[in-house]
Amino acid sequence: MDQSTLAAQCIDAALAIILEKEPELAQLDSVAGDGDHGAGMARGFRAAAAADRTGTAGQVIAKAGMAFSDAAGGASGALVGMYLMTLGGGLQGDVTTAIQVHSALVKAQDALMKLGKAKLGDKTMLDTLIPFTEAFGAQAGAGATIPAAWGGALDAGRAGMESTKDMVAARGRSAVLKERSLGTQDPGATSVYYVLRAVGEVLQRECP
Amino acid sequence: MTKVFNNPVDFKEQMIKGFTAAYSRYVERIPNAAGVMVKGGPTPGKVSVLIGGGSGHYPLFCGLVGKGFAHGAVIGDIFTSPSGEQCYRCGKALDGGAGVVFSYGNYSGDVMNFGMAEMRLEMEGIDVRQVLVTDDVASSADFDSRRGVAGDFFVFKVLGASAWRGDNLDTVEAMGRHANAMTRSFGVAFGGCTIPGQPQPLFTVAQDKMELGLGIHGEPGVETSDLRSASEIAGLLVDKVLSDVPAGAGSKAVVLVNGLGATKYEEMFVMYGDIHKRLAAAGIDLYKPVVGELATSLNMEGCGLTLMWLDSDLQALLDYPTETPAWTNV
Repeated sequence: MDQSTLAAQCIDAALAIILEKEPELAQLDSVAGDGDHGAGMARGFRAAAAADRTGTAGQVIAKAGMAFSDAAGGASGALVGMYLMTLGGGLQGDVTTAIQVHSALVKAQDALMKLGKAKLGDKTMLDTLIPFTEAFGAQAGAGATIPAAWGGALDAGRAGMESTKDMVAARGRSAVLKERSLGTQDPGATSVYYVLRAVGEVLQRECP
Repeated sequence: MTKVFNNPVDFKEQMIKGFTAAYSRYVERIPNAAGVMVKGGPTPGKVSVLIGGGSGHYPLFCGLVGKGFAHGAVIGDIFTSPSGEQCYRCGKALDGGAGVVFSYGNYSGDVMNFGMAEMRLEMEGIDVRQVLVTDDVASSADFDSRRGVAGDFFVFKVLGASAWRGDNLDTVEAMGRHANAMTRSFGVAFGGCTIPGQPQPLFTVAQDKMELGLGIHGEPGVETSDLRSASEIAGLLVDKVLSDVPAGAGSKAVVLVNGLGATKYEEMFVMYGDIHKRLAAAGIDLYKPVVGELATSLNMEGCGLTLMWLDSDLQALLDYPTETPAWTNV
């Protein structure tokens, strides 16, 4: 399978998992937010899956990011859209090593942090992404393939997602409600974990 | 309200179509964008004001577009900031050559998306300024971190009037910032709202309780209290707003008692009698009070009090003639 088809399949897998988990994400978001996180992510990934799929894998992901951003709106539209655009921009030409992917993941994470002004522990999607990316880097440095590094980093992402349950929101609308957000897992951290897991499954299946 | 829809996914687009069909005497659709502008578009050589945010707050934001008020509004999905792309398209359509002021309530999604649009427009040589509304006393002790609620109405009114009377970009921006600095709000909720297509409200409030310091996106209050009488609620709202009188405030203020959607005018009039007495007793010269629904949260049950303290600049801009779908004065 060529790389741009693989990238497109990853986006389709992300859409499928978000549609499946939409009620759960809505429930998590209604505790300290307005309950529409799942709907926003679904709107974004529907548009991302319908975007132009010509060019390299990086270009496919960047165009999906632009479409996501415009369709989803809100903070998550801006943030996830920016993440995908930067990730796509970081994946130049043929992607063969996990080191290349790690470098793009780091760039995308930096762009996300700059736009959202959040950090680790603020109860956001970064609490999944940062540990995931760090674990991915460790695997890549040890010579793992892309699917192996991705699969090996998922546990760290899951642990990060689960840690948001004990956090008090520091950014976004839920930050106003502070303690009300305690005890509930962050919807953004949750949806990002589901997407990473779904992408991992595609990579395992298609790049054995 | 939330029982009338076709496909919830398409709610915003259908809402815009109906709105522009009804009010074509004031507004027109911005081509290829999720937004509306004053009929005829921007005035060449004059500053334009673009307001916006998610839908679900009518008359915010599109109902306040017209002569003397905002030049345009960019419209997001229910309680969701419009995307950076849509803010950019609407901003570009509204530039009359003298710059554009973006104004909206301070929420992270709006800040990011309007911020991205500003960057793109600046690259194209369009001068953009941003005036964030931060009137909600309940949301933070730090003024600049507060969210925007019903105070949007007064800040947008001042910005729009300043632009329509021909002020330059620096002045329009300064007037808007001054209006925001002089505005304070506090609200209470008795019941949550339901997003179109959702089976239940975002939150519920027990029969004998009320939520203090609610948000206008169905965020519950920052604190729960026992439900009190209209007179006691009036006292609470006045105390909360007067606990944070802006520096440099004089004695004159415009007063708004705002309904969130399901609390009705008669209930608010009952409460207003007490609010009026209490504010007057606190030495405030009440200017043109308004009791109405100017910043709603779908069918949320609740209300709030907003004051903007006036000097001669703000009073003149507040009185500037306005013709919009939702607000016509003097």
